[in-house]
Order: sequence, then C-alpha cells, then structure tokens
Amino acid sequence: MTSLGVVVGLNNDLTGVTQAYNVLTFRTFEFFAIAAVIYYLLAKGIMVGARLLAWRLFRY
Amino acid sequence: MLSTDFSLSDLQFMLAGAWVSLQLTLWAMLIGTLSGAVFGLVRAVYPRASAPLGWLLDVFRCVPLLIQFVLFNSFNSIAGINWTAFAIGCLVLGIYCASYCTEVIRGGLLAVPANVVRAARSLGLSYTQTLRYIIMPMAARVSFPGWINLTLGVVKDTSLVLWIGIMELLRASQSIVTRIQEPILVLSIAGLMYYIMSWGIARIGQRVEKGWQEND
Repeated sequence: MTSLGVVVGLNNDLTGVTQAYNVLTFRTFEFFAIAAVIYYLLAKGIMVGARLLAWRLFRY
Repeated sequence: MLSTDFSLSDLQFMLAGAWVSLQLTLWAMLIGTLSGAVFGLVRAVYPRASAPLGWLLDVFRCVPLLIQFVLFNSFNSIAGINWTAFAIGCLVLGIYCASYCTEVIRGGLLAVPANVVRAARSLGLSYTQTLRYIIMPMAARVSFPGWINLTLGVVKDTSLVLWIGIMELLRASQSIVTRIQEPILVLSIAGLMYYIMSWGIARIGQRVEKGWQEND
C-alpha cells in the first residue's frame, strides 16, 4: 500500500524511483519486474522477521 | 462553453466512472470467488500437494497491486495480446482477489472442528456428503464476513486502475479536477460515491449474515 504514494507525487520511494526510471528509459516491464521482486523480498523478509520474533517471544 | 464550475454533466461523468468501478468489482469478485473457492478447497484438503499453488498465490499477495497492473499492462503490449485495459484490469484484480479469497475460504474450511467431521462420518455420511452438507455450510458462515471484507477492499482497490488508463471514478474525478481546479470538492464527491458503494455492500452482507443466523 505504500506504493500508492506515487499517485500523489511521492517520488523517492521504491515505486516512485521505478516510475522515474520508467519515464527516463521507457523500459516499463523490466523496471517494474525488478520492483516487484524487491517488494516480494521485502514482504518475505518482514514475514521471516515476524516468525523469528514470534518464536523468540512466545516460547515457554 | 468552457465553464469552471461543477456542472450536472460532470456529475454524470463521475457516475459513469462509478459504474465502471462497480463493473470492475463485479468481474474481479466473480473471477476471484470462483477460482478462490476451488483453490481454497484444494489448499485445505491437500495442503502438501498444493504447496506450489500456495507459493504462486503468495506472490500476488506480496507484490503491490499497482505494480501488478503496470506489469500486466506492459506485458500485454510486449506480447502483443492486445486486450483492452478494462480486460487487463479485470484479470489482475481477479487474480488478486483469488489469492486472498483462497486464504479466506481455506481458513473457513479449516475452522470446522475435526470432531464434527468425525461425527458426520460415523453417522454414515460419505466423504463427499460430509463435504457438501456439513463442512461447506459451516465454513461458509465462518468465511463470509472475510469475503465481504475482501469485496469492500476490492471496491477501493479498483481506483488503482487509473494508472493503466481506464476511465473509472477516480480518474474521471481527476480529469474534472484538472478542468475546474477544485480538488477538495470533486474528490469529496468521489469519496462520497465510494462510501455509498461500500455502504450498500456492507448492508447486503449484514442482511445475509442475519438470514443465516436464524438457521443456526
């Protein structure tokens, strides 16, 4: 959902930077595919972090 | 000719946009619910064998919807499939819905206590009968609020298709804003329209839920 910032002109987050490169080079698919991979890794990273935290916090 | 106040035809233009938003929601929920029901059933019944399906749907839940729209739209141009932007919007939203709906329905199916299933089996119902008459009705009651929640989310997520150039409610209001330069007024009206759409869906959901409770 943070990727929606670009709609109102946020231009230094991941989607904003991607869009800036996109208008510079017109290589839409490549840049957005890279952004998608980065978002996926971010989400997975947060998930792994939460798992580790839960494992640490909720053990008896 | 060129007036700078909010006219009746502007309102009509926005209502047409709202209708496109509703159509998008309808198609997305249709695709999402049908495939989500099948995927959810498969995920609940064969959790091991369908793990690759789970990973695939996980990708669509991890990547932001905006990026998915742009990716599919540019893939459409690269591969030369030449679908309309509306079809792309429906497809992407449909897949997105399917990935969430799978989890909603899987959760509902897993919420049916194992003892109930055992009781049904020992009363002589076959496996398919248990699934049809015991598990599915109970799972529907658990997953229905989640499904309504998903629908409400999708109504608002349809506003993202403005990025790939469909004239839906938000894009219609933005193009009015560029003419009359009154963003607060126009966007408030757009917000009100979204609110009314969501409110209607929520009310229908409440009705259905209440109707189901009488039979329990």
